[in-house]
Amino acid sequence: MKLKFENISKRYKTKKALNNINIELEEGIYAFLGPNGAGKSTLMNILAGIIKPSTGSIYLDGQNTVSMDKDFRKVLGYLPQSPGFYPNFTGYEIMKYFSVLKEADHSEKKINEMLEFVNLYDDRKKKYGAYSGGMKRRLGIAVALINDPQILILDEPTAGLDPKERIRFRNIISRISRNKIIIYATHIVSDVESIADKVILLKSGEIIEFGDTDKVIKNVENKIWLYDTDVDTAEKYTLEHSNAVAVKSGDIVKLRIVSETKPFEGAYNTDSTLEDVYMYYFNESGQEKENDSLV
Amino acid sequence: MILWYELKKILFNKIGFVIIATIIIQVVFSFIPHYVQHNYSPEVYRRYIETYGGSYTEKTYDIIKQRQTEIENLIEIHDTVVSDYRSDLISLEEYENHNIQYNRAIAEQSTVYYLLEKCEYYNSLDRPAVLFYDTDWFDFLSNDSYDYIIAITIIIVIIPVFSSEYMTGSRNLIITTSQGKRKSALSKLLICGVFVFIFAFAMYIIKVIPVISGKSAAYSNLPVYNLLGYSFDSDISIIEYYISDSLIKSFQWCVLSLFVCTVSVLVKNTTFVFFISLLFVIFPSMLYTMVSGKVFDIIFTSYALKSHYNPQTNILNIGIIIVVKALLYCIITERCWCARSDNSVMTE
Amino acid sequence: MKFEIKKLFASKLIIICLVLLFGFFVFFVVNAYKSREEVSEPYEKLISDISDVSDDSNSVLALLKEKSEQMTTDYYLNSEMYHSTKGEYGSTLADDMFLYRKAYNDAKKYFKTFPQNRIRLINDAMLTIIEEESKENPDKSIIALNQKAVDKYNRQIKMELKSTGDLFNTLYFFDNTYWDYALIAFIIMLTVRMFTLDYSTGAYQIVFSTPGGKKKLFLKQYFTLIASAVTIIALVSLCQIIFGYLFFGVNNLSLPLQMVEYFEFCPFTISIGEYYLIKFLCKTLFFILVITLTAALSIIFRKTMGAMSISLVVFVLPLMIITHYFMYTTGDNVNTISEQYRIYKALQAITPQGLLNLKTYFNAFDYLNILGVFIPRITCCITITVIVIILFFTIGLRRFAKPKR
Repeated sequence: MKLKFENISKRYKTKKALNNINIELEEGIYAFLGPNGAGKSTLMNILAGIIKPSTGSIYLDGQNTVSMDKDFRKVLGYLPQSPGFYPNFTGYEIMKYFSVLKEADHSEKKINEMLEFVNLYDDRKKKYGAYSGGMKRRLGIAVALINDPQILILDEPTAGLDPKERIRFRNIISRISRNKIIIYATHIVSDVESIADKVILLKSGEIIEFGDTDKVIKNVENKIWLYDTDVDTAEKYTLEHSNAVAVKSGDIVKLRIVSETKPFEGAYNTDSTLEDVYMYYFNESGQEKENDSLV
Repeated sequence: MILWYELKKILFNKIGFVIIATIIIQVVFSFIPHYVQHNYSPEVYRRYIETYGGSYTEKTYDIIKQRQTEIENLIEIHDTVVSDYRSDLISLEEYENHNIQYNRAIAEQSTVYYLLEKCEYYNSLDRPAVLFYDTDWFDFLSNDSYDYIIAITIIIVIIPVFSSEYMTGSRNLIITTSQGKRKSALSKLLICGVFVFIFAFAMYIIKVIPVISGKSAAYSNLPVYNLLGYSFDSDISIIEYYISDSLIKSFQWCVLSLFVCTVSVLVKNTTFVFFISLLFVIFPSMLYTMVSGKVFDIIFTSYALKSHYNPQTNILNIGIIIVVKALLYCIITERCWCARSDNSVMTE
Repeated sequence: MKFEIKKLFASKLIIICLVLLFGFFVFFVVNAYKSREEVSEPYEKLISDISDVSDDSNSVLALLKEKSEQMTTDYYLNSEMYHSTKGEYGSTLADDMFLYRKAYNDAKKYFKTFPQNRIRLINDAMLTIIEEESKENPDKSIIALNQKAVDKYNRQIKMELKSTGDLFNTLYFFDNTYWDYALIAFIIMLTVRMFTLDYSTGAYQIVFSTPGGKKKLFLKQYFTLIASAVTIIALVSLCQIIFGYLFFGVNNLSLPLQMVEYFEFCPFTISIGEYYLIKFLCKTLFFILVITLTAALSIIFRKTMGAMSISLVVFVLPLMIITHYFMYTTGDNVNTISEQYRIYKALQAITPQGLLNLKTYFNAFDYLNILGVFIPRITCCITITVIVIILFFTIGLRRFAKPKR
């Protein structure tokens, strides 16, 4: 299965949200990483057919998804950023309703299975309005998965969830990821580090990096520095530079700095993480941070 | 299955109470006696019908005509009689007798004139007619007031069908499903149309219950042409006439509900849909007295709802207009519901 | 308040609704234009010339009587000449004759009939007082009421021989119930939007947790709505005056209201302009009530449809009922002892919707005896309206931003 984005651009009145996106996706988990305003949700909405691109098309196995219409939606599962369901419907009823809309198996057995899968079986008769934030998200995932979609779009799925819910969520994604294209849009790095096969970095509507997670992390390997210092120096440095994080270890503070060159005499390289990749690509320079701090 | 869920969304929430409240209000209003101004005395009219009612014949006409002459004579001579009495030309007894006759004549005058008008109408019909106490039916059928209760209920019930999907954000999720575009839109429209049709027709039936459960029930099978001003060629009975009128109007309410759906998908916000629907569903009916015409009847369904069914009208024409408007609203609604947005607000 | 105005009018849809509302108003303007009456310039010139000749009503009356009688006599003697000779004011002398007759009839109405009717009213009232006082147990309220009537009617009203225009048609087209329904719906929509927007967007969680006073926020929103409503009502009132002048010749607002036939028996000494002003103020008061009650309902329910539906029913239903009974006070239906008339009068006293149809408060002596004090019916209605406003304002203010149970 191949999902191809060809020359996708989206312009709103004064701003270009997406600029010439060209990528090809196969089975696997793809993490779209980027700060707020990067264009992640716009791309998700275009793929889901909710908004029209200004230019470009999306192809699934060579066929335009717009002309595929119903056939494309049959294989699609979508969890939007803020899914809105009906407060007066129970969890079970919402599942039933959407399974009918998706032409999926809407038998009681199947629906209960899905609810069990997302740990909502015991709450299936409660009204949606009474669900907590985590329960609402889990129901959203269950709705997205009810038709066993081949393409699953998850737009900021863990926003507002507690750590336990987020781990549970990651486990669910891992379990269902075989033979599917899962597109996971987020700016929470830790969510994707453990499960994403490939990472796509979006900045100001453009793809700045696309590749295997390991390779993308390796790209910034020599740019991550550790420097042991005292509290005052660390504090002063982090105030003046946004490319550093201070981690306290007893009396010593380890400054973790993302920099092309060695920032201090005595600094040494360390293993890079996806968070470092994020810092590297999406951080303003120290100069800009100074200006920000004056503001 | 989708239809059932769409129906559930309409009925099984707080809006359902609105429907129940409306039905209760309609029942109460139907049974409250309405005061209607007549140019005759209904009481006197009833007494005349009791005496001379039944199949209308030439004899009936002669009797009424004779009574009219008697009344006119009594009124004409009244001043003379008063003057004679004052001049002691007639006794008190004679004067009293005259006065009794005179007062009765004054009281009956307008009614007898009305009866005569009716008789002349029957004469022009050239068909067998029945003289009966038709005041209740006549008042009921002549009431051309726009049914604001139905209108406001429809607006309140139908608005959330589409606009709530936009307001809750579930529309974006629904249209990503395989059945979520056309089928979902058409299901919603179908449910709206059918529900409103049944609701409106039920309200019309509730309205007529006080009339058919009273003394007037016996006359409901008489041809409608027996009512003054309803000189149709057909022999349709009064109740059949009312049912036909109600059926056509129910279809038109159905069209209005589809209009509200169209406004909902265009505007997407409950508050504004409410106001715009009010403006186009209710206000044209109010302006009926100021502006009227065939064009307005076609454009504004509210206009058509003010007029009455005429058996001589080509039902096909009415049907075509209803179907064309319904199709137009359905097409626009479905297109807007399924359309991918062009200028959506950025989500991040 | 700048932000509250932006909150209200930032949406294009509000602007569209406003345009639709005024489109509806334009409909009445167009109909008024079609029904407009040409202002008779010759007649205006004639009465202006007469007024220049003399200020004294008796001499004007005498002059007009003499002239119209003379012209009438001449006309019957020589009608052909009258139809062929150019007149001083009209196109022919015959036109002049009709103008003089009209002027004479109007002068008679203002300078003779009007004071005579007044005197008759006063005499009737005084007679009633005398009759009542002569009884063994006189009803003091009847005496007081008639004394009030005498006080009200025993006043000098300076009538002038001037054209008042067609005030009735002006009110028919620009101040009718249909427009009131439309404006009620619009104001309800605005109010509900203002007070439920925070809840519907979820912004209330932030707004209500800010250090700024919640009462201050409520007042800002409330007065923004009042300002918007007053602006619309003022604009419409201005249009009424302008179009009344352009289409129906209502050009002299300083004339006594009693010069308009419908208001002949108005007990208040006010001018046409002052009547317009009172109408504007009463309408504003009514719409302040609409805003206050709708705001309170929005705050209590927090849901758009609920607040709108209930507000609509609360304001439209009584208006429909009072309009239904209003027909019993007009034309051939007038029967002041009929039950329907009495129901209408009772509704006029207690329902604020009565303020939308002000003319029926001003066309007769209409006072209520409230605990021995005689007050005009309109005052009773205004008082009740104000009390309801204060009540719901207090409820709204206290419930605003209160956590839901």
